[in-house]
Amino acid sequence: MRTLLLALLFLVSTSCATSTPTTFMMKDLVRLNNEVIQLYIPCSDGVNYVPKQEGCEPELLASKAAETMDFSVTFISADVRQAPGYDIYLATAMIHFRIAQGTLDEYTLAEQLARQFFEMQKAHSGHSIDDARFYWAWFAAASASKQFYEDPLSLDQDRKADLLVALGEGMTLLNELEGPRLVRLQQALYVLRFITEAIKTEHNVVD
Amino acid sequence: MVNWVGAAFAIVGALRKEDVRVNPKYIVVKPRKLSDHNLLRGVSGLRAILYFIPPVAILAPVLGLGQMGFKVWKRFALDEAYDRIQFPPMDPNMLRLSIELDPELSKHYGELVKEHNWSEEVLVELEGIYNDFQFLTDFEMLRAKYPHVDEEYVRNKALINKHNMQENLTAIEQGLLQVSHTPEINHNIREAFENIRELFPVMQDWALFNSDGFNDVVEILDTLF
Repeated sequence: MRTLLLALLFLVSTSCATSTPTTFMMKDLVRLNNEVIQLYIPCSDGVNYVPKQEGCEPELLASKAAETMDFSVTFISADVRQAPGYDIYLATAMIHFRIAQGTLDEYTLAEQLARQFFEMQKAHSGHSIDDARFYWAWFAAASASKQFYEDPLSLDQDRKADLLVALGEGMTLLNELEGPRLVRLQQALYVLRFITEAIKTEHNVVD
Repeated sequence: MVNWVGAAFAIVGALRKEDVRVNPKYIVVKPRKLSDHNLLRGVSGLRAILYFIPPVAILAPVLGLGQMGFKVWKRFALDEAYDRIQFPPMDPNMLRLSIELDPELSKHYGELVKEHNWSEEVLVELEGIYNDFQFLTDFEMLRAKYPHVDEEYVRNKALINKHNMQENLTAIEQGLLQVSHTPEINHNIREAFENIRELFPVMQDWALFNSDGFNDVVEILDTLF
């Protein structure tokens, strides 16, 4: 009986420590995502974010967005191939950066995850390849803009090469997207073009 | 799964002329092109179609209708799912850089994006301005909101945005036609969208947008449908 109990305890503890996303994890991820959306809706007036609008709770939205991003990273680390973790992390990160003025490290992580999402989708012919391309172009542009203001010296030749790849992938989407995502993609490509052209060949810094 | 039999009856019923009358006294401001008949016919056709279409199927083009079109569309749809849709938020650093890079916007707002002026208040103000130039389709409306901005610049932006909006309407129409199986439904969809194409640019008319008349029209539509 004691052996059976110990075996059961072992099984329970190992299943809790497993790195594979469970149905419960997926439910939690979707629940967190829905909570962020519900908090964001009263703060948005059509296309604009209006934190002073009635019913908007910016602090609660910020903390829920951060919690969702943390959980999404856990979800991704449990299975790097599954799309929902990336999708929810990156969609939430767009809200987070708008409301909380993210740090350069946060921007860098978001861009890395966007690229990882793209590489995974490309390698496995995933259905979310267009989403992944959009996010990569967007976060490469957002992250490079942040660098432009806060750390222009880091915009060197290696960085330029990365940004050019993101730009190329984003351009393949121009005939695929529609609606506001297309408008945002065009903005990201405009920024990427400017920054890559501004990185001087000889000095490795922007004009 | 789209219920096209139900949709056919609903569209035909909704497009009947005698069903779409509004007491003129409730319409305070009304553009010439926008007769009660055209407005309500287009709207009722749209409402009838939307009722049978999963919102997610046409989400991207609906969002592409721009701020005012989006608001009006939401009111027509009256579907809980539409409360969940959202535009991709703006990134503050990209907004700053985009305004700096745009010669015309930089001329008027360049000082605000400088480091010493940059703040959450400035961000909120510039986001609204930048998004107007990205999404609003009506030249008169943009001109009225931004009389100090170069007229040709405003005209060009409105034209681009209007083109995008019409492309979005075409995408919605094509999406609906792809799942339609009878010539009669195809005809009804095309007819409804002809009305809608006329409707949306007019609904972004500055006078209508900026008056109680707009809210009155929307309220009447809500009670009628």
